[in-house]
Amino acid sequence: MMRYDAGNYDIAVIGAGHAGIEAALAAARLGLRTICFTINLDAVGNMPCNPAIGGTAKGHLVRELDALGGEMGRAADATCIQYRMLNASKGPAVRSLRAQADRAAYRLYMKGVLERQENLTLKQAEVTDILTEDGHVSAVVTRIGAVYRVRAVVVATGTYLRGRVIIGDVSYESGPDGMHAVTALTESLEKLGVRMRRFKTGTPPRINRRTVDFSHLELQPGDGEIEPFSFETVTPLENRAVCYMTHTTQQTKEVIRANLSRSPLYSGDIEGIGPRYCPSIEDKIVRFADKERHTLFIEPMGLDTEELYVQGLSSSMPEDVQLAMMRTVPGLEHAEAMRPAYAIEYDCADPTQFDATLECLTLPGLYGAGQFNGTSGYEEAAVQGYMAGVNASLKLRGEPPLVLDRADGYIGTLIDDLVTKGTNEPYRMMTSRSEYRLLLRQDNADIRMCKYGRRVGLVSQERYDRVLAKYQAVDAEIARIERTTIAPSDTLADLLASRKSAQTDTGVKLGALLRRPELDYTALACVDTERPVLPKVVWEAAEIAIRYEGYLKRQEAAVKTFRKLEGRLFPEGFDFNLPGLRMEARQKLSKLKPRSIGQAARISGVSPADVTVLMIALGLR
Amino acid sequence: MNTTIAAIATAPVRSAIGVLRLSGPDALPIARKVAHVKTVKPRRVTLAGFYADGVRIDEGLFVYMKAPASYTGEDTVEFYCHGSPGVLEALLDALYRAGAVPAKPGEYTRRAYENGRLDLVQAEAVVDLIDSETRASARNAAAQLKGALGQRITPVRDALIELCAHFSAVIDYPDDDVPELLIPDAIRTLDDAAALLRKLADSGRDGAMLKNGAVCVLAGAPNVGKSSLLNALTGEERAIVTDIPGTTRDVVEACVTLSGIPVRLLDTAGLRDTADVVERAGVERTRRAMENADLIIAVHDGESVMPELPEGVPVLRICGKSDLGARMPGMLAVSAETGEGIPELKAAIAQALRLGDIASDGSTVTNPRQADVLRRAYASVVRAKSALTLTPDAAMSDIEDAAAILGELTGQTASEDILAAIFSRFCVGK
Repeated sequence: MMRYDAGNYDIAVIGAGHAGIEAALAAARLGLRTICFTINLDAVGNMPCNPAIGGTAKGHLVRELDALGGEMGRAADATCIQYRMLNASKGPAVRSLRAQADRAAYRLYMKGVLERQENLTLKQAEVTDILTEDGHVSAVVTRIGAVYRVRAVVVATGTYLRGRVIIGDVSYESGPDGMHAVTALTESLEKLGVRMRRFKTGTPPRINRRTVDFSHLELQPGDGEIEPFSFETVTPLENRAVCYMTHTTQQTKEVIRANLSRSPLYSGDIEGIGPRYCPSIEDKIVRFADKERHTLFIEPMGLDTEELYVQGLSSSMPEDVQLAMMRTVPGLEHAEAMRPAYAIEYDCADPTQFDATLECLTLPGLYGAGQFNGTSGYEEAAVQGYMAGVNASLKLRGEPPLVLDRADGYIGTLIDDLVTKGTNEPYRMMTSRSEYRLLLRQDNADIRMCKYGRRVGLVSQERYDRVLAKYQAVDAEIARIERTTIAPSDTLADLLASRKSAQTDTGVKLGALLRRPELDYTALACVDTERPVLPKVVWEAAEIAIRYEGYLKRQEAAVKTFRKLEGRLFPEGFDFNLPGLRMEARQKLSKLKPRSIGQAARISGVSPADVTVLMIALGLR
Repeated sequence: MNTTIAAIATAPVRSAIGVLRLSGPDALPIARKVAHVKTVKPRRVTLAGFYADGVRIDEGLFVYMKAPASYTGEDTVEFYCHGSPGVLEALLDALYRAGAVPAKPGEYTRRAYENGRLDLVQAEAVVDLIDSETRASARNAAAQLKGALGQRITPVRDALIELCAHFSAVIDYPDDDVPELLIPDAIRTLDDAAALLRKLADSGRDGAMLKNGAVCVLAGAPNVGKSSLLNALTGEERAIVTDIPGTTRDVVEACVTLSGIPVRLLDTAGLRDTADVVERAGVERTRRAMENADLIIAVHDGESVMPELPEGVPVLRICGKSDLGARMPGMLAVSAETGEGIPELKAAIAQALRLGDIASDGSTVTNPRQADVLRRAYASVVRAKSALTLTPDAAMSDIEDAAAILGELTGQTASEDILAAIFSRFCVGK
């Protein structure tokens, strides 16, 4: 094949899924000449699994990304058709936004944003080779021989790399949603020394709305008052669609049990490692045999389509078994499957070979993001894409990298988990993964992240000033609450009685009342007569700061301790072959090349004694 | 905000002098809660009385070094006391209660390093030192893990992890059919955990007995035959016996093993007011020994008046010199001369010390660091219980803390265990 010179760029992004989009936009917006490759221009920003953005912990990621100047939150608000704030009653730390997206609208929105972005070229082509010069990434080559000379590459290949779809005893080479797989790039990466592995994921069937009997199904409406994803969204949003709930039955179990021998999961045809949190329906029935029924959600794929997504019915059973299963589900007795459920295996990289900027330790200029790095989920992918795009750009501009730590937010936690601990299954973000959960809430993602977005230049000064002003208002309200005394009155007595709260015959501080678990800011309105009119986001932030003060202080103290070691950085090219270190520690440290003493301490196999040796060595250099 | 750490700086063996060291921003106020000193000047040695739970335990020297002129570069206080492991651990425990936290292996050096107080030569020397220290402590922890203490803590930790996993499953998978977490069930689990943690933390007395032996003080008026009894109980001529009252001046110690537990018998100067300077010093030591004893054996002879004994220490009253016809109602009659009543006395001592109840399988807490971990875990569990009235996210954070703190004893990390428990117990995920 003749190769030809197709031009010079600063950064090539391979893939235009949720990771690739954010990487390409961040790089182009930072002024780097960027080219973004996609297998198919009609699959930009595709959602090959559930038609939804957000969810527990994922909602946090979207908000953090939005505050950093990413695109996902804005795109979601432009195209989502039903919103729900999950865990509304379970505490401010675990509230998370989830919204049903109009899948086609989202795709078009994102494609348009990329097309209109200055410095960005969007190109339909399959990258088959990555070239290096002097051990540094130097070019990418497409299937038709075009050579693009670049200075950095972000790999965001999703489930395309040597993708193999499995349905029952049939398996074939394929990317997601009937797109073709990418085969040559794995070999190229392996030749460059990138350690590859194989993961698996799956998706449920899509059915036609006309063939569903909704008469007995429970309706799941959206929230009455919508909170948007983006802190920048000001126009009120409205719900334009509903979801439904149904469940599997005893008969579903019988169908699955009778056909288990036809499941590739149990016949050994699947070699990839699937996620524990995304089990197929057959897996759930085998592992939780006592459970009588499993809830299913019927979600719209968009406003202009009759296609529905059956959440909870992921499967790699043969299509006839999938149909037989649906026959046993209330409402789906006559459902017509438009696309069958399938499992998909794909190649990805071991994330411990990347550093906290998501650059490959052994191949400078190569960055990874999304499923390529072993994660799962659109939101997990998007935040990594942003971080990879920003860091590739900062490095090319000769500026210090943007590294978010575990105390900055869920993005930092996600990346630290990936590059420090690695993962044995597709990694999904969960609130239980964050040790500073009460500090890292979705409501304060703006103040936590905007400063970093401003620093790198993806958040405007005007927007940053708005965030600062909001938190000045929050502080003012906290101060007012703490200094206000509420005099005894019949109104107060009635309120306390109705909430079963202790009575008082003297004046009492408003702050003290607000700290009582049985009271809250809204309830105290009747006695708090001097209360100013404030936006909900402001008084809510004040309320959280006061009611959870003890928890926030404890976690802030923990963060200070954590940051002390996190700030102890190893110099460039630090040699971990130190006398005094145990052999296992030397090997692990040399391989993972931690940035800081704090990160080194989290590597399995590095003992407290090893950490002390490192600290002393660091002080000597 | 940095913590203030405390540790015993000298080896954990009986020696003439033992050193306790505190470092951190609150070193001075914490130290002054335990050491009573009149005035404190930096870098000046002061005489101090050392107190635990309001009881004077020892007397010694006190030095305060103001930041940054100290080894760690922080405010530092050192206590020089008598080198009894029992005294040092009691004082360390008192410092923890006063707000200090246990120093991790190598932490003084780490702080010295972080505050720029360490130079090259010192650093190299310290590396070797810390390395050996940590290996020893690693072996120690492994041994304890196999032991019964680990076996008693593991179920508590497992219950907390389970509870946490349930909270997490409910929170991270709100749309799944995770059974609602029932608050009364959570309260029961937390109460059970709190009760056991409390009990283990309080087992420090048993642990100290296991490690250092139970301390029994023979007390009574001069010349009632305490020294003869010591010799009879041990079968050795440990104490000098004469007919002269006040022969025993210093505390004489001997050891016997009762029910498998070492019991340290302390023969003391007879208690009386005396003009003899040496004897008076001996009487003072007797009083101190009695205050710190696990049991006082009060020896009567039917004639002498029993001096005043300290409150709060169990007393076993016996009648000595039975061969001379001494008898007291309700008291065991013993004779060092004939051996009458000696086996019965040994049994009575064992019973009074409840030695039979001490689990010698290693399930008791043997050092103040373990007791501190258990107390902190207990505090988190208690906080979790009150957080149940607030919101689940707060309660979950407290339960995670408790599980993570217990992990300091068992050497496990909580986060991966919680995830594993979520996916093995609950059918979650779509």
